[in-house]
Amino acid sequence: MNVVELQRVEKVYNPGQPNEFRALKGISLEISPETITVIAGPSGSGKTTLLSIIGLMSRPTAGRVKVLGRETTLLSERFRTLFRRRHIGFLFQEFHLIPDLTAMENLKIALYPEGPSPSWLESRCLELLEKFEIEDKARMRASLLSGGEKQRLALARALMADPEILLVDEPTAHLDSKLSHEVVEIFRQLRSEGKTVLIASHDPLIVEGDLADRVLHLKDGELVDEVRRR
Amino acid sequence: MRAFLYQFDFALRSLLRRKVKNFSILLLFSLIVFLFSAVDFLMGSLYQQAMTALQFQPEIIIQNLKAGRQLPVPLAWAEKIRTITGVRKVVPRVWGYYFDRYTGANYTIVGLDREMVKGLGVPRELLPLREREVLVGEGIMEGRQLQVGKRLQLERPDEVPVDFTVKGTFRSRVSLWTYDVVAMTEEAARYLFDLADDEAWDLAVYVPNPVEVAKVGEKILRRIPGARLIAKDQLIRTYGTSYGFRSGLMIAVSISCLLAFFILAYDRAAGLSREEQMEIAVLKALGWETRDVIRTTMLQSLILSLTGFLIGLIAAYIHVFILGAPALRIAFTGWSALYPTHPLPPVVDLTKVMSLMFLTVIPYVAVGIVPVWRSAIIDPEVVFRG
Repeated sequence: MNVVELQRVEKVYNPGQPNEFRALKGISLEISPETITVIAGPSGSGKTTLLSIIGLMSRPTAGRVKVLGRETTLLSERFRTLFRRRHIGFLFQEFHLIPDLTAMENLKIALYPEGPSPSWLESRCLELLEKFEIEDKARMRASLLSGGEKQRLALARALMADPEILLVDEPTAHLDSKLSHEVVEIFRQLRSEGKTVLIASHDPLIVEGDLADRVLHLKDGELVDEVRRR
Repeated sequence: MRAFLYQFDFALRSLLRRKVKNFSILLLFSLIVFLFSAVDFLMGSLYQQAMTALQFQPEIIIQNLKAGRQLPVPLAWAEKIRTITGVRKVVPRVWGYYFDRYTGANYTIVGLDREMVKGLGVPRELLPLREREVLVGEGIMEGRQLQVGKRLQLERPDEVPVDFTVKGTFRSRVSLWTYDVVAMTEEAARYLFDLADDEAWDLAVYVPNPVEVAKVGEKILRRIPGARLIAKDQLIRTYGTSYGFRSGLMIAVSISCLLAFFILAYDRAAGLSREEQMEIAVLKALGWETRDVIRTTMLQSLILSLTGFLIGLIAAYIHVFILGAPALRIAFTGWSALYPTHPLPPVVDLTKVMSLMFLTVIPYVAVGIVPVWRSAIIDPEVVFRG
């Protein structure tokens, strides 16, 4: 079963307005489980919009979106939110951590609505902080972390609910070469742990390296090319 | 339940994260509640004291006016009134005000009769008084540095000094009223004020059946056309107006508090900062439902406003009933230069307190919902894009 299936998905911003913009034009694709798919393309090609639609953060203007076998297009806002919380992790280009909260608190809030036991929540946070080697920063405010540490903290937060799908937007945009290679290794590791990873990027390290199982090229909101590596 | 506790914890931490802003709101909220409650507590307590004092007042007081000025009442009037059906008793009263040049204060000189003794709450063991013995209110004891057994010298209108011996002091349930009182025998008061033997300052008419008061009043006026009648009901209504919501000061305070509160609430309703919108978008992206976001924001508003309300209320209680309302008392306690230094008896109208809470806390929480809801229903992606 495909993890993600898109059929003729379109997204129009400000429809009917003078500033109407067609970000996606009839995208159809399938994503297999436990793979890394890279969506490549220049800025403004629709990569982030595509991730937002797959991640149920945005509704398509037309077309159908199936995630983990579930038709999501017509789901209510509440079910989309619940579905996202339990099955999809996001790593944003700007990290979007809450700067005044500590690293530990930034992780915890991801699961607050689920109401897990405090001891389980604490141990889950510590497990992920250790996994990404930032356990010594647990009590430090997110605003005081370095770029690489923020990246790893945001990644840990995306994995708090142990989602099947991880959506990643420009993961190396704010990292130097060494940290970029470290992040690439993390994605490989996540795939080996059974995660399906979708990465929007135009970084040659991600697009041209041997990380991706498949590379989809977007241009002006259309899929123009596809390269399968495995 | 656990999710709610997590959200409560998050709300609390969010408030602490924006310390300066939230502390300012807390301070303003407390100040509004303090000002309103303090005035209300003080007025309530004074009103209660007035009502307690009025319990012992006669149903009708008769005064003699000429050209709008009060004159002594001829005792012959008492005889005319005594025979009216429904009148239980007519008591001529000898009392008046005395300006004391040493303390710059006005004393209330009272010639004690049986009803006065009850009304002022004079302890039985201090009675009866001898011709030159006086009981002195606390304020005068302090002002003149008197002690029991010491001499108190007062002057007649013709400046002839009259010496009295202080037999004791008293503090009644209506301390505000007895603080500046000098109580003496009726004869002594008459001598001090140089009042003729066939005159009194006013007449107290006791009518046991309240239904008959108006009728008795009419009959008195028929027998003594020039008399001025003051009914107890009239006094109660006057006090109600003075200390109630209609009084000018209370209205001014209420309007100021309302205005300040509206400004506070408007700021809350006006919208969210970019930082707050981003935070909501992050929470939504992480899987918080719109209702989770709204609940957390409501909890923040509730914690803030309820804390502000309680601080204001407790501060008002302490200010009025423990510290004796130093900032407000002068505006309410009349023209006397002597005010009790001890606190007023606590009188708290719980209905008013609850009403104030519902008129401040609930609206403050409610007005914050709309801007948060508006932010929470926007796709996080749209907010992130700015």
